[in-house]
Amino acid sequence: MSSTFLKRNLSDYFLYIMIPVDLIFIGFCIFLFNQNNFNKIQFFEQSQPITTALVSLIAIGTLICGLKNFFNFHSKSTELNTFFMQANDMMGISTSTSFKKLNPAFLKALGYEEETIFNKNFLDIIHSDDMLRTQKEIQKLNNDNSLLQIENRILCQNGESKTISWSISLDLINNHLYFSGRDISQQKENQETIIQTLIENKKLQLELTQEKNKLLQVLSALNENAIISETDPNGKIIAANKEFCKISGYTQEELVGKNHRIVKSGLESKAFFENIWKKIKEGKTWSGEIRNRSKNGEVYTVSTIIIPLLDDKGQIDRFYSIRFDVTEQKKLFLQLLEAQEIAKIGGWRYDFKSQQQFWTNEYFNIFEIDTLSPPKNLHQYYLEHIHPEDLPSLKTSLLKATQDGKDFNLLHRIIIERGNRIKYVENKAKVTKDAEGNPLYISGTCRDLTEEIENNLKHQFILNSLEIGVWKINLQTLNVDWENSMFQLYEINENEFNGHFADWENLITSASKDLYLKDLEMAIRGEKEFNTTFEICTKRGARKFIGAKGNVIRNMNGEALSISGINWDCTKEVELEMNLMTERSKSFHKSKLASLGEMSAGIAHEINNPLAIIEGTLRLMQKTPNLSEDFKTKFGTIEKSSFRISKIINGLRKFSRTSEKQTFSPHSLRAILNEIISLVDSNLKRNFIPLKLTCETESQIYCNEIEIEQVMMNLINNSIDAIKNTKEPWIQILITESDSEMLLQIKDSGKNLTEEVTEKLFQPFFTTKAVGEGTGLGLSIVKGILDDHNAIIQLNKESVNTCFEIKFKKYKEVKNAA
Amino acid sequence: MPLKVYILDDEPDICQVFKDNFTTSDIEIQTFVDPKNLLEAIRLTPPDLIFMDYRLIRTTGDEVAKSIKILIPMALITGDLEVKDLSKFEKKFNKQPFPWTEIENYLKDHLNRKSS
Repeated sequence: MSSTFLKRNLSDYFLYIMIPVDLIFIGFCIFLFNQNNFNKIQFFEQSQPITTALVSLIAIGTLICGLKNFFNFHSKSTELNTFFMQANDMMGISTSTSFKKLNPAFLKALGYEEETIFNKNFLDIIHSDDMLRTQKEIQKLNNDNSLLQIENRILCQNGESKTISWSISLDLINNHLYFSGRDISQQKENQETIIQTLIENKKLQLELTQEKNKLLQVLSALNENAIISETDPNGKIIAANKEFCKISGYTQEELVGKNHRIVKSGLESKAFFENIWKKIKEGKTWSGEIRNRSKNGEVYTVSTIIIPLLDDKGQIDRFYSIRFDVTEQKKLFLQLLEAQEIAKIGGWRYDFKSQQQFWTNEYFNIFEIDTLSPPKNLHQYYLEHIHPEDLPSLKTSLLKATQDGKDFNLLHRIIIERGNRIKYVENKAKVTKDAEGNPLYISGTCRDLTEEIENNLKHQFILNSLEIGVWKINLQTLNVDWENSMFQLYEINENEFNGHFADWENLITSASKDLYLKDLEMAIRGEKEFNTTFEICTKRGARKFIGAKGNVIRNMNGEALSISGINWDCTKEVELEMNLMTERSKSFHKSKLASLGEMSAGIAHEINNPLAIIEGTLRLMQKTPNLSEDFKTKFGTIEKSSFRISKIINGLRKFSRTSEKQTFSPHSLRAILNEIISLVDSNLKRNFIPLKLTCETESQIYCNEIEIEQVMMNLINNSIDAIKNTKEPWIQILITESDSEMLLQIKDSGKNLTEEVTEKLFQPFFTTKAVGEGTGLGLSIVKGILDDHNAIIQLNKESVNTCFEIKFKKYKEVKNAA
Repeated sequence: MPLKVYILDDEPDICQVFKDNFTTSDIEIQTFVDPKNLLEAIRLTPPDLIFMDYRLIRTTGDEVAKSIKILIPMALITGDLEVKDLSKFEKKFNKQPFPWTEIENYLKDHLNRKSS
């Protein structure tokens, strides 16, 4: 308590002391008065001076205090008013209906005029959002007569609001609100700002912490997995992690304090390192691959990032290196490059944004460009050296790759040596896009296919020139691929062939289909190679023989997956072979005949002589005079028999020849026929077949007698074989002539031959006889012989019976022609 | 003078039957089996006509004919269709076995020639 305070309140203290003293005294007196043995009168007389003094003092003191308070009160009242009016704080009194008193600070702060404000009360000017809360708080004042400290927004005259911090008390008796307030709007704003700043700072701090945590985690991970080192600005190692030790073979103690040169391999050039130093000393990060050498001398390659770390002053404090061992990848990459080189595959990349191309060494080789002096703009060079005819395809393929996401795949030509040479290359690539789907770059490989293509073209040319078709059958789907000359061979259009094996089968004639299928099946089973010939019938009705060869492709289990091979037209060969066989059989036949002939000559000679003796002797005997009739008859019989023998011998004799040379000479057709008929006479008689020869001409043909006899023999024997077991068989031979020709018709009682048989009649090996009964060569040989004689043989199609007709040129005519 | 005819055939029976059939008062036939004998006989007494078989022992008629230097008409009797050299022979008879009538006529021709 201050001295001033003491001075001011001394009188008050006097009263405060005196009043209780008086009361104690009075209380004591009352006590005494109530005592039974107390002498009231004696006490009263004795205490009277004390009592009077005490009372007087109290009265004086009260008077002084009263006066003092009165004066104090008055000056206090003026002071209070002044204070009220001059206070900076907003003050006022309000009833429940209106303001009662407001100081200027209030009016000024809120911008109200006296005329308008006094119609309102305190609650009226509170912001609606704070109204409820303020009311509640004020209501609390009703119950608890304490001071309400509240902040709320107050509406100003101009409609704005200000945040005021109030101290409010409620006079319960008058129901007056006494309030004093301070505009803390700015404060509030500042507070808000501070809070915001604090929040932001907090956030930042949090972020920083998070970042820091992240960084620490990253650093930790790096430390665990990467090769980390720190060097001072001069390259002296100040820190090295475990991985560094592991790869370099040095311990930490051996590394720290040494220059980084300790792991120098000597394989990188001086310029290489100078370049690195230059960059990092400028405060820039360097990245690349470096080959280092470990303690045991082995070289390892590390993908390196060297980061200059700056201090507070922005000076390079240290270099932080992060390295990864790429030795293996490097090896693989080099192996890959080598493999690409061996396979002649070049790598390339086209960047859409920069429109630049990047090539591997092998790609340069494909274009035959020296890597030491490459063109400035590779993309431009590429466009200039692609064959102009292939440029549209390039554009189309590129578009497809970038827009449709298809793989880029293009076989095209490139120009070498100013167009003197052309190369074929195959480019395969993929497009890489960014997140929005825009193409970033396209990268792929390029293969020099020149050799293959040229070989392929050569093969195609050869195949096409030789009219060789290439085919493949998928044995699982039975789908068929035809290439090259297949369509020409089979004489069908591409759109007429559905690519299925069934379609192919239908082109093969029924005669050869079974064998073809059998050969195919045997090849598929692996029993033999597929090598066969079959006959096809083309659209225009032509018959062709097709040669086929093929290879079966099998899987690991030996199952046949497909068979592929070639077809070629071997009609000529087949025909040649058939002719050859015919000729062979003919010559075999001839040689048989020749040996028969030889034999015949011998037999003829051996029989002729005794026969001559018989005949000669018989002649003599017939000259015997007076021969009886009986003997004459008997001699006649002997003569006839001997004549028969001689005829047979003569017939046989005709087959004997001492040379291969065919001798043509004029002969009477009738004579030939007569000759033959006698030879076949026994066969005819045995089978009860009458033969009638009608020939009214002696005209001759120019022929090889023996061969024509063979022809006749063959035809007659065929007839005999055909009709021998039929009812009423017969054979008729009719010879007629015109001016220039002779017609020989040999008809038998058999029905005319069918068209199917007629078609193949003269084909070698064709026979209607049962197995073993004929070689099937007869008629083909007959035709061959007649062809040599310029004679035509055919079957009379109009005849009801089988009727062969042969047209010979008359000898006269031939002679004239000769 | 009768027509002198020599015949050479390796079969004696043929020779005999030829001789028996064709010998007449005007035709004298001498038979030979061995070509050597024939040649000797020709040298001594050339005939008017010689008949020769083609197939002989160890030789052929045309070979024998070549050895005959004197110009004498010769006829070949043979069962063979093809004979190497017929130039020496004026006639060829096919053995069928024997063309009796043809030979008779041929002999008659020569007889007439000789007479005239």
